[in-house]
Amino acid sequence: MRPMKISLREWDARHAELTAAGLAEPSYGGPLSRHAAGGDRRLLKLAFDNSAAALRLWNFLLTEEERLAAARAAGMKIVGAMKDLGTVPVMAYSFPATVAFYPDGAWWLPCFKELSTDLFAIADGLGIDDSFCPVRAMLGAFVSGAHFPRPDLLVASTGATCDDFSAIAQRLQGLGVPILWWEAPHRRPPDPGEEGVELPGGLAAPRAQVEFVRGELVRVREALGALAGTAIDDAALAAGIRAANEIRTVLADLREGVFATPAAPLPSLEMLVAEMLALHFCSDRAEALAVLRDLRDEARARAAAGEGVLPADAVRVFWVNPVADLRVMNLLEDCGGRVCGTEYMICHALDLIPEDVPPMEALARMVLADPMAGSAADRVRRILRDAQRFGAEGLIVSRIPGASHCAWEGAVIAEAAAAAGLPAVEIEVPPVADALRPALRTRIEALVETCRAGGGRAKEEGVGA
Amino acid sequence: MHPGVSGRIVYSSPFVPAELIAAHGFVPERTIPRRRSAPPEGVCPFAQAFADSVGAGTGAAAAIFTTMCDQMRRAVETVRGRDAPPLFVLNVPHTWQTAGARRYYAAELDRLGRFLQGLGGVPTADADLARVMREHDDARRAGAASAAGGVTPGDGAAPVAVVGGPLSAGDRVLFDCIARAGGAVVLDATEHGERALPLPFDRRRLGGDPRGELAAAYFDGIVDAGRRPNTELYRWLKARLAARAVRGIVFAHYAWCDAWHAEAARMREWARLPFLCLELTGEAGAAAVLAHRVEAFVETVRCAP
Repeated sequence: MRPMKISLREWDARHAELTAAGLAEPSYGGPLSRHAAGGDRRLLKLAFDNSAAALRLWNFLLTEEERLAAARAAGMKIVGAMKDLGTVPVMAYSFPATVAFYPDGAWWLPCFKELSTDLFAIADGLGIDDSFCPVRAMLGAFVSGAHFPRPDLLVASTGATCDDFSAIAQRLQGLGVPILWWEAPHRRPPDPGEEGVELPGGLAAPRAQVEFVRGELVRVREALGALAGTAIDDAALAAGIRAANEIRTVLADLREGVFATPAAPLPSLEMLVAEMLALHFCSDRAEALAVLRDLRDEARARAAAGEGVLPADAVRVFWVNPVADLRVMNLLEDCGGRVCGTEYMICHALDLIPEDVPPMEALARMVLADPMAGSAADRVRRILRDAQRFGAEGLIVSRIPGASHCAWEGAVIAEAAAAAGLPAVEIEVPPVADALRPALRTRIEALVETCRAGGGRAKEEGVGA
Repeated sequence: MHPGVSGRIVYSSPFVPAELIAAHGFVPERTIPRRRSAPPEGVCPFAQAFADSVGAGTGAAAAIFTTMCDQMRRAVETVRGRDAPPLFVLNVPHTWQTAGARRYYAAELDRLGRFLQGLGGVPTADADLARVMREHDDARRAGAASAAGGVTPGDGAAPVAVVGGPLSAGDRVLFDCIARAGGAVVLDATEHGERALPLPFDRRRLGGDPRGELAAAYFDGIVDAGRRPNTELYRWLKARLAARAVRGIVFAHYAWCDAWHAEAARMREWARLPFLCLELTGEAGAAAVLAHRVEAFVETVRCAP
């Protein structure tokens, strides 16, 4: 079947067809509609890629709760990593019989459940109202205990992190949930004469900051060791870093292959989900790698055949920040656009972790490379560099409602993009954006039309794809 | 101060030690900014007001921002390129329970010292810093003694605590509102009150390690909702609420100030006292509503058994 986007209902027929043709699915496989029947009602309104690789991706994503429950039943230790987005799980998976996940991921539950759960109501009742980022759903999830097992160890980075998240996590601790806090300082450039260290992503930080973060991570490592009942040596940690880098390498191949190909081989929605696998491997590192390899191979095969899910003249848009409502990724494509590059606040989880320095220092460097730990100016430089590399014609900054950083940096990013000749719009996407859909459509269509009429600088200069 | 160097160093965070600035020959000026306009949605009115005041050109030799809150950390970026003086971002760890965090803060103070010298400030010998610290400490002790003598509520006045983050100049009308309504603020636990004061200096350490004592007094002494964990805030409050026989809490936070906003419900449950939560939005016309709410609250406290 040629590449195309299909509905959930169409996926049932497609699943039957694939199964009849001999598709071998992993243990978590099956028709996607069962997840909607189980409460993930947003799936009914999404358009999905029709490949078997996408089927595996969605099934993998939507069965994480079951995996965590199985891990608990098997006696494995469960670590809840919060906010650092990419570092602590690399450490945790280096320990035996230990699995890590981000409770932060609960921020998508209101979307998947179409607000049918009481997660926000619980948060409201605890004083965390809708002036906070939708990640407040995490608080509701902890209190209700309905969406993930209570972690054996909860670790949260703080400092140069979103105040929303930090305050919500503190509220959780105020309810009696122990949290190990560790400091991720605001990244600054080395002062004149001060020794600097190169970070992933082309950034730099003072050696003193790297050393400080390394010390903080040592505390986390010790806590993980106490939980696991055994310490690990640097060799084991280095192996964990190599395993994470293997996933990041496949993901980088996938992103390059999709973003740089004229007719997008995979839709933006599946690409968004794929990027998120880099954070904590969806609670199964080996399987995450297999899922991403499938996607990469599918994208390669389609590109080689000259096939895509979108027309080759779709306007190439660089997307900044993740959306609280996944359906908006479909909307971009309905408006004639496509994603050709992303900065979902997690590029430090996509860049390779250095393997030529001691592992704890490598992880410290990764922490400091977090785009949210530094200045908006640093973030803008990365965004514009990648936008140009992928030949973006326009840019969308997707604001997260209530997120403290968005109010300040959204305009900074959009203005910088415009100054660089890249038409840009800012939109705000709540967890279920149906009521705003006409307004969002209007803004996205305006961007697409602007790009078609004038073309962004990146395209004029012929860079990118 | 070097010849030709003069000027004020403006800042708003209590984690910036005035002593260090003064010791380098500058005039420390802890600003209580005045709001000029309602900020955009999502922006803290106080952070916006401070950034605007710095960006408008204060004639200061430099301005210092800190990383204690996300809003301030990001506000500084909107100031650069405007008519602003040289800017310094002081990195203040949110965690406080480790020696590493304390050392990091101390190192940041050293970096601030180098920045001040780069502006033409005088190099500071330990003895000079110690002298300035003694002077500031004496002034704070005198002020505390004076305040302690002045907070005894008058006949029938309701003893209340004001708890929260920073308040811009216009919003400090809250204190007048409380007084007019018949209340007496016996504990100012806002960012410009005693909650945000450093510990009294250990005079014995001033001779040997004044820089270490300075860092310790500020880092260990100031309690704040944004520290992780923020248990010390509650420990500090518990002692003072009891000692001052506080009968009601006025809790004030700015819209979009996540650290303080998130504590409101928890503190209400914890304090078990009449509790008024005021969200300051920076919008015109809010002052009248605030006055009415404060009046009703103080009346409630006064009438409570």
